[in-house]
Amino acid sequence: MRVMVAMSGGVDSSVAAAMMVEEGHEVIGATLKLWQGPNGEAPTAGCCTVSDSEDARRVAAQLDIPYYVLDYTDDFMSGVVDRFIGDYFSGRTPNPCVECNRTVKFSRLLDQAADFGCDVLVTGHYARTERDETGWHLLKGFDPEKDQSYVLYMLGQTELERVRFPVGEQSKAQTRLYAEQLGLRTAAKPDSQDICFVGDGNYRDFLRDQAAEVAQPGPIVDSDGLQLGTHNGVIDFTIGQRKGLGIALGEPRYVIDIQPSTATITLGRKEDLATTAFRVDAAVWVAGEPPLPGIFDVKVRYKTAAAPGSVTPSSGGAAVEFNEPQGAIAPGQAAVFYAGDEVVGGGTIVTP
Amino acid sequence: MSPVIQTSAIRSARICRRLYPAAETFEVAPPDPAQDRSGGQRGHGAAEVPGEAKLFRPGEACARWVRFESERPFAGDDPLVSDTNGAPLIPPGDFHDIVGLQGSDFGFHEHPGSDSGPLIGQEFDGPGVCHPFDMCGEVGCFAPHPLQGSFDLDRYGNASHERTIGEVLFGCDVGSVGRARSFKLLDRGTIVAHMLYLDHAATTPMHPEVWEAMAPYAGEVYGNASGSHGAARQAKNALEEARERAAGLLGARPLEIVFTGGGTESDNLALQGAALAGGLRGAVVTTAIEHEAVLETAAFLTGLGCRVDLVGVDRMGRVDPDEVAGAVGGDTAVVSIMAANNETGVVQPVRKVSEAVKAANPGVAVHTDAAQSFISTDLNVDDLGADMVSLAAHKFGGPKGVGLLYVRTGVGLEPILHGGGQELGRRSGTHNVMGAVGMVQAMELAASDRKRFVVNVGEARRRFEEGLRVAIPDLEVNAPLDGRLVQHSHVRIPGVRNETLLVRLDQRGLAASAGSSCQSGAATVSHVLAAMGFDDERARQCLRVSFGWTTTPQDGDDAAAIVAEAVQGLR
Repeated sequence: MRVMVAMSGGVDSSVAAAMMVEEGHEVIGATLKLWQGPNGEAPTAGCCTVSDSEDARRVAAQLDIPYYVLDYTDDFMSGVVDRFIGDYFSGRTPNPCVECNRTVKFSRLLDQAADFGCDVLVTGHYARTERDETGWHLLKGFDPEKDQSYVLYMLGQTELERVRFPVGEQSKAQTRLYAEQLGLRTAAKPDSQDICFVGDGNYRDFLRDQAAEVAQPGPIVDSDGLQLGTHNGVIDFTIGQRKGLGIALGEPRYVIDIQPSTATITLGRKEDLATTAFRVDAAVWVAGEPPLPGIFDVKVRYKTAAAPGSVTPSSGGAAVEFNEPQGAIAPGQAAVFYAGDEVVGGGTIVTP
Repeated sequence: MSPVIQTSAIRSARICRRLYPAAETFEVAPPDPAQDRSGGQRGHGAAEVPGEAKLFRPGEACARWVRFESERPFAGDDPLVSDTNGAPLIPPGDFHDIVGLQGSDFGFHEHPGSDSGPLIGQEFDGPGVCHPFDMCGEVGCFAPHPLQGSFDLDRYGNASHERTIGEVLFGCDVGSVGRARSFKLLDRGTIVAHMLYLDHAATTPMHPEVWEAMAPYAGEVYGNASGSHGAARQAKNALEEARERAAGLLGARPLEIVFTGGGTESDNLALQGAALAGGLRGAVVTTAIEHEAVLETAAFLTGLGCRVDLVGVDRMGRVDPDEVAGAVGGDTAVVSIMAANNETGVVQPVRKVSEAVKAANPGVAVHTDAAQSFISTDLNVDDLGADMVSLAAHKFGGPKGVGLLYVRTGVGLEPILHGGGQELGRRSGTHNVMGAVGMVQAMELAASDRKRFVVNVGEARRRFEEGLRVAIPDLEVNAPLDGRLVQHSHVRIPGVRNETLLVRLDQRGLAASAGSSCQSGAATVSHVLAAMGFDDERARQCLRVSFGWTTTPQDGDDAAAIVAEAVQGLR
């Protein structure tokens, strides 16, 4: 089998590539070039450097597999960045990593992998896939600490047929051990805090350059409208954020509302964030059709534990009602529904 | 059934061991003489092993080292390894293990052993007998005895030389049409991919004679050419001899040659040096299709306050001399126009530009970047009408990291590298004697080989474009019918994105280019094509194939076949 491994330069995708080589597949490594430079300037006569890709390139060399850098700047701009900016001004908090998976990695890259004659696309995500007589299933990664199935909920049957997540079958520690044993240069590379090619906080700098509007200073107010301070741009805030507010109030305060139109950030107490019911749109069901209404574990943020709630699919979306109120439901984020370890589906949160 | 070695076996030796059992047996299908495609055309009548006997197809992997054992003894009348008359060259009793590797012929048809039959044993035993071209004769390499360790291709030079037809030969006597045997695979090692290298516009393989000429300067001759002792004199003499020879080839005077660190530095020196000589008041006129080395230098000068005018091109990528002259003013210091474009190969009317420019303002220095042209075009600076000419050694079989700038006597030029005042103060830095010697050796080889080059490469390109047009009727060739360098073929394949195509070509062992790429290797939209009026989509459908001194006419056929195959399913 010929496989393409999307290599970010981190240890997970490095090991994924090595595992594929070891399984005896013909492996191609690829890194996506997602933007031109820190200022996102249009391609010029000058050259771009993809410093992130150098580790990937070296690992590919070590594994002795062909390696390519693929230009996805246009797709990333239209599918992720433009949408981020657009959504932002609608008062949403999009998840660029989910969008990148949806519009770049598991759509166009998947097609391009096929153009390269590859049977499957492999990534370093911590998730598992299984197939039985009912079709493909998307499961949480073996390592509960590292599970990334949340950002993969958009994968349907046709995608799951063409993707593999080899490191999802093992723990992160095993991944590192494997990398050490093979002597991969990325073995000791620190974990990225973010989940995809968009590095640690970089997208904010990137977006500041892309859209100065989101970097306008504005007021920080409490829930009564009393001004508590100022900020340098609503882009620095997300719903439920507690740290980095730049204001000391003697008790924990959270971002409970963001109004991009007036550049206003509203702070409140944790209980102000509590929500019992919300809706999702653009729902995707792994099985290809919605499940019967029922109780599922609902995960509303990558780093937040799932909580049980009743999910009632309706045309193109679903209504969710938590058993207990939950905090920090941010429109634009993904809500993903689990039945045990299995991803049933998910969608984009539209109303808190 | 054809034996199959997993071509996916491109991996580290360490992993390799785990993947392959130590021994496996397979059959090599008997080659069918009727399918001998070579027809005696490839070199010396040696038959190519027909398709059925192939383990590796072009572009597929080929073992770096492989050991096999014959399953049965060879009878005395087996012309298993024979000379071209069929006479056995190895006593059958000596014949236990065979390592066969067929490379290619590179367009060099003179190699030792080819007239007298296969190269036997020499590769492994002979002192320095085998350089890359010898080794890859069409007869392959055979070892009469079990090999100790490995047969390592890397020993024989730059892997980019190994343009291969890619067979590992299992005892087939390709000199007299092979026959099938059953062999046991004993072991195999790291696998390397072979390639049909058709990216000579990017860089060329270094000529072995160039390295021979350079070698003393990596060894016994190490002096600093600026010193006053014997060691320095040796180096200085070699440097100045190189300068004289370079000048002779260009119709220039020796002291008009400035050795540099390459074509980019030459371009920087020409533009910056001329602009700085004018006290930064000098304006620059150049074209929209120049190499980045010129365009980015011009942009840098703009930042310093120089006026820079860019002249456009027509749809065929040609510059209009009158338009250039029209952009020249009283304050113009330098006009830079490339001799031929590096992407499309379109030749620019340097002499006409020079005449028109001089008519507008006789004080302007005319610079031309001739990096792409030199290998296929006689360049005389007076005929060219240029005051400054940039050359880069690696574009014509020389080493990377060395170039020259011809500077006509009287042209005002400020240095851009300051220091010890070498090269008459125009380029400080310890003289790169080895590089200069190598560059000049390459220039002479290119000059003496041009006739053959033009014929061979022209035929290869004709076959490539004609062959490809049969497979792709709506193929577009992005150049005027005449007026392009013989080695460039720049085509548009409607509906096929070059990024994907290049990977598919790489998978098939064909090294080509999109014509423009960024440092990461990702294809970018070319400023040259944009200047020619291509929109992004069309620009991303262009492919550059550039032939070179290792090219044979057959390469054109092979390349067309590979490209035609690679686009299948993409359109």
